[in-house]
Amino acid sequence: MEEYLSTLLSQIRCEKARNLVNAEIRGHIEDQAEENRKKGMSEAQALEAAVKDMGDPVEAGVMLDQIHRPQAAWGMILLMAVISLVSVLIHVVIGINADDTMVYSGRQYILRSAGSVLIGFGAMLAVYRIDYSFMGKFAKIIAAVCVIFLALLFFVPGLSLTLNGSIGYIPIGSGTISIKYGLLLLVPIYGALLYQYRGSGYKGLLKSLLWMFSIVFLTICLPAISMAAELLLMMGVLLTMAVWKGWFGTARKRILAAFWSVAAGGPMLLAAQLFLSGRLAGYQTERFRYFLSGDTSKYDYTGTMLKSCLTQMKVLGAGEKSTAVTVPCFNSDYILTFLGTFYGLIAAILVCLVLLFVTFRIFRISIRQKNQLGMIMGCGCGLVFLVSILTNIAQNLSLLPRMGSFLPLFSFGGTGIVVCYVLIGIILSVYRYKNVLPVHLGESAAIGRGQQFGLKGGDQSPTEM
Amino acid sequence: MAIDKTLVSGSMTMLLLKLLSEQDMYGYEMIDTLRQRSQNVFELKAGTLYPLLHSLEDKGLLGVYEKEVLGKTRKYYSITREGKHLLKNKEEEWKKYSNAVASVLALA
Repeated sequence: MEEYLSTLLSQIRCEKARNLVNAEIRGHIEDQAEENRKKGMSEAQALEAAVKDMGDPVEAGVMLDQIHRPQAAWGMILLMAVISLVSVLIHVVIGINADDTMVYSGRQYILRSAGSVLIGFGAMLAVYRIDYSFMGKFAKIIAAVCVIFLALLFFVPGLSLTLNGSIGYIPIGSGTISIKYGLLLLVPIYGALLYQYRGSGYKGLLKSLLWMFSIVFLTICLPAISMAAELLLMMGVLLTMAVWKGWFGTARKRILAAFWSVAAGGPMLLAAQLFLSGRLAGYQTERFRYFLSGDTSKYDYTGTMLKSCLTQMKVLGAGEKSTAVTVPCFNSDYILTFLGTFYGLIAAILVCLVLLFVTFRIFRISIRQKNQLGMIMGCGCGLVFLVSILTNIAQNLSLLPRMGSFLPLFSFGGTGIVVCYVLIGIILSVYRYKNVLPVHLGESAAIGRGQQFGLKGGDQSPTEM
Repeated sequence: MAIDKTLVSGSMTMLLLKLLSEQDMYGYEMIDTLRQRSQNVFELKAGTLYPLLHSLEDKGLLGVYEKEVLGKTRKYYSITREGKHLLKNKEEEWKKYSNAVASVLALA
């Protein structure tokens, strides 16, 4: 039997995939041998007949090798290349037309936007090459480091930069890293955490909730309330998936009903409390007040400008350009309004559709993934895209109060851009190993770890083939 | 009577999909069921079965999950919606084909 298995497995070039095949074929031979024994064959005969029944190991191995090898989602990589190019071109145009109202000069601006896309693309390819199960294995450590770092921000002055009352920026070189956008990377990591607590019952569920609430709580304290709400929503959906799939073996409906009522009601109470006690940063209190006052036209400059841009937009071609460039953050938060005004409504809609298509692809790859860690991490990436895109569209249409948001892959800004590329890198890695990793990593993978083809003690009878 | 191999292999995808449309099964169970139902005409080699199953899974026609039965972790296959769709097409194609063969043979 071992000879058969090692001949078959040696045809499969991807070593990681061998474990996946090994367990299944071995189980089959054992089943057949047992059946043969029941028919009255001796131990040796039963195993010999079972192996003979399998057919030619080389032929089977070659066929399996064709299927089980790392795969590249070329379509997705190509799509990303095109999106990157368009995104850079958009910002080159903005840079060329830059006036002195902008923070950077035209040349600086172009270099910065192209630079972050380049760094992002590089990061995407790097993450793509890493086996995501490796990231999954260290999920707890990664999450713990992030939570400790976030907590330290409040105690160690100088670790972060305070901008507009928010401490969420880390100075690096001549720029800053936005912590709040960086936190989005924790969503797929949270998925991996959930996977690690699989099978540990209510205790695992409790730990998962503790992780979620500590991340959300620290984000609120930054303060980055809208990001905290987004994180709560995205992690909540992942938790719902895990509970629904029975990962914790707990009651499902009651737990989920309780979770969502706390998750939806709690933040509203907390926000009200923070607002009333005056612990928000100055600009946040102002935004709340304006939004609550109902008639925002008197106070809300951005909102008024956005509305006027929207009414002046043409379906195709440039509308009234002068208003669009006076919208604050027109090149980042309100890039859609900018595109709509400069190139027509069609351009803005097209960009949204392309991004929604990318999101759809992410979810499709994830859901089709048999490895459950890849499935949940992939869904985490998809959720970040979906929630960010929808929030940003709502912002551009003035459907939500003013808050920082970004359009994935298109908004100007280092951290947001790089984070999106890393998320795409994760999904590419999930796709890459889709035929290589088993449904669950623990048991099947453990067989092959110690010995090359997973020789189990009991199998080594003198009669083996 | 020995049956020509190529006659069987062409329709094997359909047969496997049919089995799985009735209930989820693991590899050995499929071979065993096929053997019994076809009165030993379909002696499918496991070396052929697994590459076929894995490629059907890759194409999204089958799904897999692991389940522990009597202390053994087994890999179960289930048919997806796309798999059911293909099965329906293949069945129709097969009926047409076998009717045509039957009519030609009847004429001769």
